[in-house]
Amino acid sequence: MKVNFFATCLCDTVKAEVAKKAVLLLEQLNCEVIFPEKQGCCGQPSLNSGYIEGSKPAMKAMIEAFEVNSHPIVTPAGSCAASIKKYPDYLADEPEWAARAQKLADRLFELTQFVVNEIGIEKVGARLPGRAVYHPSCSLIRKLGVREEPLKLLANVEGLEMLPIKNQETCCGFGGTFSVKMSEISGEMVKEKVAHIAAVEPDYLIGADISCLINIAGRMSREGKPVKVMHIVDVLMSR
Amino acid sequence: MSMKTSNTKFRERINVQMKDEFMRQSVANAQERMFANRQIAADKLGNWEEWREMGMDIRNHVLEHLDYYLQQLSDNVVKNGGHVFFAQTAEQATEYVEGIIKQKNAKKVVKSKSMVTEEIGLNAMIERNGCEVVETDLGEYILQVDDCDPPSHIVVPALHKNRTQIRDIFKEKINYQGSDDPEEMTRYVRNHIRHDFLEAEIGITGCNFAVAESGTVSLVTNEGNARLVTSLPKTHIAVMGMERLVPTFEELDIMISLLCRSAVGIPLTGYVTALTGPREDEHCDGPEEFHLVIVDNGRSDILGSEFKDILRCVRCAACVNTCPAYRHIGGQSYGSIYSGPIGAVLSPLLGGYDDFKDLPYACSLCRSCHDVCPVKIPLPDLLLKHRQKMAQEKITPVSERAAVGAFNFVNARPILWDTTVKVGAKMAGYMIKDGKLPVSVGAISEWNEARDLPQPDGQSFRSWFKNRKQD
Amino acid sequence: MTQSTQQVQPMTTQQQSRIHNRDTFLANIASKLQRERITEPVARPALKHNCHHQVMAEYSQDELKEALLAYAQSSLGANALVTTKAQFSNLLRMECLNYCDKAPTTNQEILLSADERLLDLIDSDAFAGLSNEVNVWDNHQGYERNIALAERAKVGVVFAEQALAESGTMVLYSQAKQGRAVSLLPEASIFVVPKSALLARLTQATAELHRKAAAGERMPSCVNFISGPSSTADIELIKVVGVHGPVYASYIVIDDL
Repeated sequence: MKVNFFATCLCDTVKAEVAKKAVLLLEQLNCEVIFPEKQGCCGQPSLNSGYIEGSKPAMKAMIEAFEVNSHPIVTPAGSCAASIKKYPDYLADEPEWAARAQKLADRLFELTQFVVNEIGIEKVGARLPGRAVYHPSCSLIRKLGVREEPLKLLANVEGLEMLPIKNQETCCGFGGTFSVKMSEISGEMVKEKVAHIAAVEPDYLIGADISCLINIAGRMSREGKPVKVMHIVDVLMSR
Repeated sequence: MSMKTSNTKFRERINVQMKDEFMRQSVANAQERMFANRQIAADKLGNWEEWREMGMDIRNHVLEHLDYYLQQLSDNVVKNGGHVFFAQTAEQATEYVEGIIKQKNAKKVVKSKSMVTEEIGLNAMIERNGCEVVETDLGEYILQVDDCDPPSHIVVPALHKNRTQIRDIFKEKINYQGSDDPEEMTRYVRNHIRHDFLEAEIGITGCNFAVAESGTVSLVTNEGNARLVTSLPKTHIAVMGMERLVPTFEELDIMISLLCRSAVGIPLTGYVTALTGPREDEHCDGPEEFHLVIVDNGRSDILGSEFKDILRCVRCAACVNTCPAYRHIGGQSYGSIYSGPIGAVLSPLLGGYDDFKDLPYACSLCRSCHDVCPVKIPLPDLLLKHRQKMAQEKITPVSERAAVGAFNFVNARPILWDTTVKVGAKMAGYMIKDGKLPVSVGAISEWNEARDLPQPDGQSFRSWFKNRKQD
Repeated sequence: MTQSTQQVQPMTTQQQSRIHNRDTFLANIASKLQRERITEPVARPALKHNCHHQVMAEYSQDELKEALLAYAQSSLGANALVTTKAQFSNLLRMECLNYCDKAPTTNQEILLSADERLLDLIDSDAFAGLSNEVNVWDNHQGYERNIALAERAKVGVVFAEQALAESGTMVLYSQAKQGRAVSLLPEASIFVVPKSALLARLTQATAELHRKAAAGERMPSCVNFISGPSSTADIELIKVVGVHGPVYASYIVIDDL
């Protein structure tokens, strides 16, 4: 099947490897991946800071970028998927655009959601021996309702042992601009998250949202913790 | 005290508060227990989502017909011999109560815990009239004795204090000579203020839910102080936020069931007391006079605004008990008697953006508050609405508006964005070394306080994709 | 939709004079809601779900009794007892003495509610031979005398209208014969309730109050739902039993009533 790929600005600029592996994974699962080049950022830094009006031209550009075809759109980030799914609300006072945004939102899937629910596969043949902690991002579990899909995929990774941690579903403290606007609070939240992760001494920290991972990895690096931070596609492409 | 509890700036406050290790540990422990207990109680009841839905529907119905139900409520209060004063403003409310104090020549008032009375600054007015006011709820009593230290939690106001601190306060202020054992201190307070209940001319309470069909005020408590306050003094004044009512006892059942479980994780608190009017003629205990003061103080403006869902709130503090930001900064950081997610939405609405503009940003939008609210208030969406309003009203910093403006300019232009990404990816690869940039300013330095920057892959994804397509 | 069934009686001028500032206040609310003021009864929507009626719906009175007593004993720190009419006086005497003996040098008095349903259960010689003073609430004697008795008493004995199994709750209606103070001022509270008056949960108790209100009956000025002795967790979230209200509570269910 043909799918469009939404790379997200963070993957596109600083973590291209994650986006690459996502593409390779989709191709392994017999998808033909299209990259509509006019895509930009989902707009969260602006939208979540309250600048709705100013974000509208970019939202419209994004909608147009993906109207090049009507195939599903897949993205390796829960927060970006959730952000785009709110476009219809933001554009509510322009009904034509709101309808186009809704069409876009309806064909947009977070990666694990797409693999497990749309393609229907839970075992991709990955192998990664070791002990790991999974960080469920707030966007994924509370905005998109994607709880089980990453866990199903990870359960089928050969050799991988998943460990529970304290307050597993508590926010890592990224929150987009919150991490720099309220950096003291954000810092305390990520310190607490790292403490809970480190307490079980895992080999890996795995997540499905690059923004959370950059946040947690940034703190773990500062503390010199020897935990390897991996996006779930890194894990799923491990052999 | 009024709603505002501090004159320092938000970031100064949180920096002070976050250094208080005891407070943070105390809050974290309390949150864990209260969050767990709430879940246990909800699970034991079963069908929790159905209960939440009913709670939301009941509150929405009341808000949509608030004028009618307040009319019905006030009719029934006076039919049962009570008085009703509708107070548009805080001043009108305190003036009315002042009138009663003067008329009774009251020398002592006993109070049970009421957030709305703190909001309108009632105690200050009482004391100005040469009348002593005793907060009888143990948590509020501790804070009152401690020179009116502001509350840090809606339900457990003295959460930020440990037993040793409380023992020292009692030793200094009320001649307590015992140990820091909570039971011993509690017994001491029981004996110490017993006479106040018996001597006071006036008892003042809040109102958890009024019942319109009967003119009833209901109070949800554990300590017995509210019962004493409303049974012994000859006059009872109940102060009520105007939205705190239900149509009939049938809805009261649902709301009380949700409140007790969400707040303290039990099916019912020790005392749920439904009071209707002054006592009947043949009874010999209970107040001879009853006044209901219904307070607007900005609530009607909220009702007519995009924030009206916040008026569904039942003051259970379930949102406070789950908020990670609150866990680290504590209640007094909010600079308001209303803290946590509810405080972050409500304080700017009742108190304005000048004093409370930072609160809606002290949130990572994790949405855990949204999941626990018993009346399904979309708290994160309301916090976002505040941010939107402040952006529109240009209350946000100029530098932020400029940065966002630049971001939106580029993001709306695919070719410009494409170039920015490709160049940015390469530059990040060159410049970020060991998690730091050569120059660290603004947002970058904020990030760097607690974290390293990510190690970039050095090439944009889109370049890779484009090049491989050409192969 | 449920039509409001309340019988609305017009207010007297005297009653109206006790309402202040209502019209401007309510007109303001209506204007914020962008409509005219509603002054006629509103149709209350029926509740969407039925789950509150389903709790312990199939329980017999005996099962409700078991649930009530178990919860009261395990979670509330209340002493939960069952007895029969014949045995009640004896049990009451023992329970009162238990409390009085807790601090023999202080108050030893017992205060009974004058509710006939309680007094009918108590044999005339129930407290015979004891040195403890036993008083009965007497509303004709006035506030000072009764409050003084209640404050001196170690134990207050009251008759409950209903009890709620789910939450271990005693439901009291204030009455001339059963002052509020009887279950409030003494350190120990003894609640007596017939097994037939046990209900599953708050839903049934509020249904009765709603029935009264809809029929235009004057509500008792104080309806109390009491679950165990008084408590607080205001110091470090540590539960302390016994704050301003009673420190001890006993529940006595009369099995054959």
